[in-house]
Amino acid sequence: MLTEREFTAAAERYLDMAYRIALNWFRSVPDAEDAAQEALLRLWRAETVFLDEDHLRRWLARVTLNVCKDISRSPWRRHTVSLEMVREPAFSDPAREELFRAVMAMPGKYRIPLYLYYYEGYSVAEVGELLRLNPSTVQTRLARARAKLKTELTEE
Amino acid sequence: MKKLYQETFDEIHASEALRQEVMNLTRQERRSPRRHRLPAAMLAAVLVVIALMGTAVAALAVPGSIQEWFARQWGSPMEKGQTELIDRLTQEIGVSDTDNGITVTVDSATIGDSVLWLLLKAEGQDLQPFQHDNTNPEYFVQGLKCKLTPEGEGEEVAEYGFDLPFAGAGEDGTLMMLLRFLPVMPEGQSLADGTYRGELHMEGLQKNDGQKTDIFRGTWDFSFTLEPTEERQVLSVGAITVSGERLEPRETVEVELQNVEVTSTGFCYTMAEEENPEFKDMIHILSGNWKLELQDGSELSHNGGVSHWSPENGGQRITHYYWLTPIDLTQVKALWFGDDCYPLS
Repeated sequence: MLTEREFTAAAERYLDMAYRIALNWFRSVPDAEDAAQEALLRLWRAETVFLDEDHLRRWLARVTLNVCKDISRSPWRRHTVSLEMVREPAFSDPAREELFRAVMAMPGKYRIPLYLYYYEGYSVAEVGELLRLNPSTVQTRLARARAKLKTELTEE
Repeated sequence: MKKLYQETFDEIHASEALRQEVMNLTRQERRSPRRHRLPAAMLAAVLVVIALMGTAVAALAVPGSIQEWFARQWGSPMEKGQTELIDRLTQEIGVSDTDNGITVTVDSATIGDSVLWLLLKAEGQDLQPFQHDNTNPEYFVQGLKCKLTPEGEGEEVAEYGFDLPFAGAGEDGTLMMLLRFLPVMPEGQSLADGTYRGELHMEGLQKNDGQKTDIFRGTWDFSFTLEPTEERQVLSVGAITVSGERLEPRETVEVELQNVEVTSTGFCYTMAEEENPEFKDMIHILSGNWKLELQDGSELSHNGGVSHWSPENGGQRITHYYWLTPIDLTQVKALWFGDDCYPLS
């Protein structure tokens, strides 16, 4: 269980991670915000012993994914998650904006492994563990995601 | 591609509104420190007092002692037994250090089994009156370190963390800070039953309301001795089974807890790896399910806690929760986990 000070410090460090995972999952800012907040609430309430910083980060990543699943199943969830509804962040470079659009246009099964692997730096095996997928499945999805992105960006 | 991807997501951040909401989570859910239900007679008395006060509600004065702060947190007049207990657990320290023209004094300490409250006073600055408590986590003591070493037998106590339940300055500009030190106690060891040498280091107080502002800055070091308070009183529940949640795979599981004990400053239990083989990874128990029922019918939630893993006895997790104020154990009736009641006598 975290003290107030530890929770605040952890929230400062990992809120963006939870939010980005959720944004990759939903492609919807309001849903991503709901999920990130719920994940951090579970961190505040959790009684898990965090053996080190990496354990806490992995725990929060996994809980965020669980929360995203829960919200997806909820009958109350908004179903308006078409690409047009994505509120895009303001990017400082057109190439980044283009890449963000291309990522968001991909199916979720590619977006999430790609984010965990490319941005959070998890290994293929760790991504598999987080998503409960075989490493070979993760490898395949990462390869397809990269290929799709390359095609998408070249075509534009 | 990877570099561009990273640069792209570097620019994606949670909104400031979400950040504020998350930082405010500590104000709710896990903690509801005050008693939930006042006995009818007490409620009537409180209503009379409120009626007599009329509509003008005067600002509360800054507590001048730990006892005053506990009394305020309790929210209603304390029984004599509880006041006497707090007096017995509290001792004067009175050591000071000066830096940058500011004298900080460790005024007094209240010692629990695995929690230590320290009241600090800082003088020598021209502060405007203000008050901060648990509901307003904007103030942080900088560079805090606390080392507690038992005199004689026993292991050095590891530091788990600090809370700042209260900070405030009154009309005279003296800053009062109440620190709650949360140690990781070795199994079977209590802060209350031995003499401990304390060393405290701090580097100031900072306000963080989106913008970090130093209230004061410097270096202060203190050495003091904590004397044993009284014989440790324990109400034992023994071994119980409660429901927890395993995150991978996601399911409700039964968790066996041993050595469940209630003391005047909190409660604790042990979770052994032998009985709960997967406990190290992803099981959690909702801490909000725990309640203490008092003889007068009111309920008390804990005020947070710490949990640590120990390799002893084949691996175990030891969890300590704290009451917001020390509790007179003669007033305690039962410990609850959800709908399950464990009578205490």
